[in-house]
Amino acid sequence: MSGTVVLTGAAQQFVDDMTAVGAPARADGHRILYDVMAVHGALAGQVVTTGVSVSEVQSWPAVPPHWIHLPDSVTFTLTNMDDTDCPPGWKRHSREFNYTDTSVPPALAWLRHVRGFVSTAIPTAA
Amino acid sequence: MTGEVEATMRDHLLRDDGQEDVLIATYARSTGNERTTALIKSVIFPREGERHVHGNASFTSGYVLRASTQARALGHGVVLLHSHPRGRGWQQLSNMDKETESEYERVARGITKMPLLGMTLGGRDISWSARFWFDRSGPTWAESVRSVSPKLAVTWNDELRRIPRVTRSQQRTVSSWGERTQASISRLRVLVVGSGSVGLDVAQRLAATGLATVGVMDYDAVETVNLDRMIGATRLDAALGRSKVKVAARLMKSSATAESFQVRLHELSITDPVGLSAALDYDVIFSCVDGPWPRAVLNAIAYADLIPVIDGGIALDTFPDGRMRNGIWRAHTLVPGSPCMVCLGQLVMGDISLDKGGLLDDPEYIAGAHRDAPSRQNVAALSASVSGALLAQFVSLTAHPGGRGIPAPLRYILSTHSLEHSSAKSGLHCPYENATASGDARTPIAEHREDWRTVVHERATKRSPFRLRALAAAEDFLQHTASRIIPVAPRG
Repeated sequence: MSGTVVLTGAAQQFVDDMTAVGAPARADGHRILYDVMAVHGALAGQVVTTGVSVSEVQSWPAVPPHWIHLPDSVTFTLTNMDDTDCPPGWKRHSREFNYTDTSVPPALAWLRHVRGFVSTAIPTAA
Repeated sequence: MTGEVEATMRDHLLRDDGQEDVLIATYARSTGNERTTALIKSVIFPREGERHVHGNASFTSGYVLRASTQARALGHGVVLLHSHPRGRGWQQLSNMDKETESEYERVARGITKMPLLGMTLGGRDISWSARFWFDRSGPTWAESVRSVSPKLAVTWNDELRRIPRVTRSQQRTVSSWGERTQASISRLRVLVVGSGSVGLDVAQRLAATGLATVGVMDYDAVETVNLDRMIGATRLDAALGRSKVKVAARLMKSSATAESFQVRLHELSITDPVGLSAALDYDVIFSCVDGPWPRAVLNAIAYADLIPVIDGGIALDTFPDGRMRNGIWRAHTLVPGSPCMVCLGQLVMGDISLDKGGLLDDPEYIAGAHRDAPSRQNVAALSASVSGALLAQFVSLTAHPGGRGIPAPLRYILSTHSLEHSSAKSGLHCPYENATASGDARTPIAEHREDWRTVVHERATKRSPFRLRALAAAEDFLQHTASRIIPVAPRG
């Protein structure tokens, strides 16, 4: 995606924290992208590039993001979605994040949440 | 400072041999609209030979230089502390102490670019005093020093914040906890965020307790649907669409027992930086709001800015046919050493983003996410239990009945009639508690928004029918006249 957004302290912290828990993250325009491995579902065993809007991690780690950005090719049965901050060929999906266990690092909790979500993907219609 | 830091410094400064001692610490700033607070961050103990104890203790320049360099690396300021083992109450500076602090002021400020803070510990009654050095000419005295833990302990500078005179209306209050406690509690600046059923009740009872300064923050107006819970709000208030804080101010003034009572109105949102700045001027905050975003801001303040936040609420549950199934009210105080709202399970972090985005009020989103719409049930008879529970937390925090501070988080279950203490513990990775004493370096959660400003502006510019305005004017006249004719009576 074109255009460079300078990351604030909180957004850079998100990049650093995700990288520290094994999902090296990088800025990409108005998004931060990283890769996850789907462990179940239609994409089991595949590495999927996903991400969040930079605007959603301005209060990280006190306020985690909500929307999960994914390529159009990844589909789900039921999800709220739109294309805010998404380049062509991408959508962002809503998935509620019920994180209250603060014995787990916030980035690890978020990574598990996203991995779990990606594992519920369904096969793309032919 | 946190109670933990205070105990560490006290243990060093009060020696078994009864001599004075010195110590250096670092501080971070917490900046409100009117008040700047220095939050003690870390203690830098002297190494061998870095201070001299000889009746009157003294710092070596090497110790001050080392500590200042360390403070600069952290972005902190420097605190020079010394003890008066036989001192009691707010301590003044001797000429020698003044010379020492004045001498090191330039060193500390030159290295850290922040003013030097001087502190003295009076050993007889564990009282702290403090002053900023903005230049060499003389100190600017602090108004109070607060130690925040499950017990809130405040040392007051009586010259800057005078002890309010006890009034005749306060006799039974003072006989419950003594003049010393009354003198401290009545000087606390307390903010109530949210002036609905619970906040309105809390605010009035604080005024009746004799507090000299109480603030209320809310940008909403009274509506007819609020009248079954906002005790004291009238049909005229709802018809005029009066702001909740103005209604609270009227009722607080009627309830106040202090000789000189100041109510501060904040028609602001705590989720906006202007609301946050206003809140940072207070000593204790009541959280009487129910949205995840405002509660997240308050949760952060409790730890980052060391302002105790007393939070609670009620959830009612009904059967499909509408009958009451259960109700739970909760009350807890957020201070360092006690779990935050997230660790308690009272704030789902993922909901904060939804609230910020307005999605929790968006029926389309709620349907798509298959989540329940926010519960709106509430009953005046039960909201009194919540305000009572919050106020009991306040008394435990400030008056320490039985020598103890706040209890573990409490919840009362209506259907089983049981009162439970939560055993929740703080999580190792809690982002709120791990930001303790970060002050102005806090993670920014509040954001500038126009929506609440529009609400306040439209209310301010709205013109009500003449008959309602006439009634309002008559009501104001009666209240002002009654206050003039029957003032608060001083103790005879």
